Amino acid sequence: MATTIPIGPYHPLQEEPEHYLLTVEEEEVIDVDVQIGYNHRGIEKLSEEKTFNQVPFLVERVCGICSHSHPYAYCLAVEDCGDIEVPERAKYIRTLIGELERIHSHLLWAGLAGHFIGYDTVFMWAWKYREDVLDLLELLTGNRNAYAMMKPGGVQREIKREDLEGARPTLQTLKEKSEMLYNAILDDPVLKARLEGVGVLPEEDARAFGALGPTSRASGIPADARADFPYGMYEELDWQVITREAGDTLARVEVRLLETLESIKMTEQIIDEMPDEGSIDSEPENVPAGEGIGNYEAPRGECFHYVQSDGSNRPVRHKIRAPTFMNFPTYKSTCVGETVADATIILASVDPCYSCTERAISLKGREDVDLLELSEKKTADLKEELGVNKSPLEEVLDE
Amino acid sequence: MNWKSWGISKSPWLYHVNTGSCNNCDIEIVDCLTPKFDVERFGGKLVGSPRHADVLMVTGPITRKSKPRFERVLEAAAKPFIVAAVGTCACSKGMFHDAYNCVGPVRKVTEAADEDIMVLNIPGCPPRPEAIIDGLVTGLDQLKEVKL
Amino acid sequence: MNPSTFKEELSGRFGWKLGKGEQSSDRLYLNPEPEIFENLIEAIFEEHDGRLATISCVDEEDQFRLLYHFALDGEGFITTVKLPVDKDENPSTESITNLIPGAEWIEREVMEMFGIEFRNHPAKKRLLKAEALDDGDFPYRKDFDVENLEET
Ligand code: SF4
Repeated sequence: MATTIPIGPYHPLQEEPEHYLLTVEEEEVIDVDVQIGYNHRGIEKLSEEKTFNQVPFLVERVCGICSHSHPYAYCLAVEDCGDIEVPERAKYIRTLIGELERIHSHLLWAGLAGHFIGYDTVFMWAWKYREDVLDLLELLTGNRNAYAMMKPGGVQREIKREDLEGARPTLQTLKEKSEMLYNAILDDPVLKARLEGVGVLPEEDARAFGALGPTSRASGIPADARADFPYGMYEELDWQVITREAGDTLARVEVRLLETLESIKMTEQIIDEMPDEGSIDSEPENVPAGEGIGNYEAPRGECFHYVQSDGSNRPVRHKIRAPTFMNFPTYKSTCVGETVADATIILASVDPCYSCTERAISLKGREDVDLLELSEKKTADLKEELGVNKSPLEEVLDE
Repeated sequence: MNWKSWGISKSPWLYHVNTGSCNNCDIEIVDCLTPKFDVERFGGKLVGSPRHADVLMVTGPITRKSKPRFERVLEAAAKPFIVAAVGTCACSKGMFHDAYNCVGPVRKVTEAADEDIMVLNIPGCPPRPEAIIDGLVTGLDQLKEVKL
Repeated sequence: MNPSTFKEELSGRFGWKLGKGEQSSDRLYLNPEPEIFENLIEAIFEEHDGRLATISCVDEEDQFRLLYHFALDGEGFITTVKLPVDKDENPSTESITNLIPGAEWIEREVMEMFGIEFRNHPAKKRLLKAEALDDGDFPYRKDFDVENLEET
C-alpha cells in the first residue's frame, strides 16, 4: 500500500523551507512531489526598478552561498549587451574571488552531505576548514559572504599584493586539508557502501533535464561554462574539467572534492600571475539599448542571466536562472526506486542550496590521543584488510 | 526577573525558521555551531521542533507563501519564547523593502499575531557569527530585567 | 562551428522562414516564423545537442515574447530562439516538455508569473506563486499593480 510522507516546509533537516511529498511503498520511493516558492521574493521584478549599478547588490542576495556568482553572471550579461571591455586586472580579481567561493561552497556541501547520512564528523571537519576560506575572503574583500566586488565593467575594490601573499599559507593548509578530506571520504568503506550506486543519473537523463555543473559532470557530460564560454582569466590558467562516468552520488561527491583541489591550484596561479598595477574598472558611461546574456559557472552549475535594456539606466527585463532550478527536477530520475533513507542524500547530492540546522556534536578528543591520528590509523588498518595501498587521491593523480 | 525569564536566559534552545532569506544568514547561524564559534559553550543548541524552543531564530523578509507557515510556528512554539530576527531582512526587510512578495518585517507579523512576543533584532547582511552570538548574549542578559 | 555557419546550416533547411536575427561571435538570435518553431527547436536540441538553458519571457507593450535560450556547450555559443505570443484574453502557446523534459519547471514558472498557458503541459500547477495571490494575478507582467496588493 502506498503511503505519503510529507516533509517540511519547516523541517529540522532543511535549512530552507521546501515541502516534499514522498510517496512510498514499504521502503521504496515511488513518487516525489515538491512544492517550492517559500523563498520567492520577486527579485526579477525588483531588479527592473534598480539602476544598472545597483543591481549587483540586489542579485548578490539571490543566494548567500553563491554571492559572487549571480553578480558575475549579471555583469557578464550587461557587458555582452553594451560590448563593455573589462581590464585584465579586474578579470583576475573576479576570477580569484570566484574560485575562493567555489572552495567554500564545495566544502560547505561536503559537510552537509556528511550530516545528511549521519556522519557528523565530516560535517564538523569540512566546516572547520571552510572557516579558513572565509577568513581569506574577509582578508581580500572585507566580508565573509556577500563580497560586493562586482560592477559592470570592472570590480569595486583593489586587492593589494601584501594581502595576496598573505593568502599563500592558508591555501597551503587548505590544500592539505582538502586532500585529507578527499582521502577520508573516499577511503571510508561505510561511506562507499552508502553512496556507491545510489541515485544514479544516466547521461541521457542528465541531458534531457538540462542538468548542470557537478551534477552533469558526474554523469559524464564535460560541460563547464568556464571552459566552454571562457570569461575571466580561465583561458590563461592551467586547470581541468573534472568528470566522472558513474553518475551516482559517490561520483558527485568525488567531482566536487576534486574541483576544490583544482580551484586551490587556480587560486595559487592567480596569485603568481596577477599584475600589481593597472586599472580595475573601465567605467562604462551607459548601457545602450539591446540585450545580453551572461552565463557563469557557479559552484552548483551554470548561472544564467538575461538582461534587456532600452537605453535608459534601468534594465527593462532581467531574467535570472539559478542552477538548482535545472538540477533539482532530476530527482524524478534519481529518487524513484530508491529507499526512503537514501532519498535525503540523493536530494541533497545535487546541492540544492539547502542546509542543515539540526544536530551538532562537539567532538572533544581526550588530551593524550589525537583524534586525527586515531582515525588515520583506523583507515590504514581497514586498507590493509582490503588490500589497497594507495590513497584514492594518489590513484586519481596517477591517471 | 521572574522564574520564566531566568529559565530562558540560562540555556536557550534555538529553533531556526527561514522565511525566505537568501541563505547567508542561515549559514552564518549554522556556522555558530561549528567548531570555530561553537555556541554550545553558552548552552545554545539548535532543536528540531518549535515546541522545544526558547528562541526562534527568524531569517528573511517573510514572503507571502511562508507567512502562514510562520504564523503556525508562532502558534506551535512553547510559551514563553522570544523571537530573534537575524539579519537586516528580518529586522527591516532591507533590500527587499519594495518587493511585491515580501510582507515582513518580522516584528510586524509577530505583533499582528500576539502583541506580547518580544523581538530581538540582530542586524547585518549577514551578521557575522560573532554578532549573532553577541546579539543573543546581550538580549538574554536584558531578559533579566523583564517579567515574561 | 560558430554562429554564422550554424545559421547558414539552419537556413539551408528552413529557408526564409528562419527569419532575420542578430549575431556576434558567441551569440545568435533567431526570429523564426511560428510554424517552423517546433521543428527548429527539435533540430537544435536533438541534432546539435543544444542544452535548454532557460526560457525568458518579456512583456512588451502589445505582445509577449518568449526567448528560448539554448547553450551549445561544445561549440561555445548561445542561440536564442524568439517566439511572439499574442496578448489577448488567454495567451497561450504549445508546451515543449514532451521534447525536453527539463522545460517543465521553466514553463510552470512562466505560466504563473506571466499567465501564458502552455498547451499540453503535464503539470499545470503552481510552483512559486503564493496561495494568497489569485489565479488571475500575474506578478511579472508590467501592468501588475503592486501598490494595491493586499497584505494577506
Ligand atoms: S539580511 Fe542579507 S544575508 Fe541575511 S537573508 Fe537578508 S539579504 Fe540575506
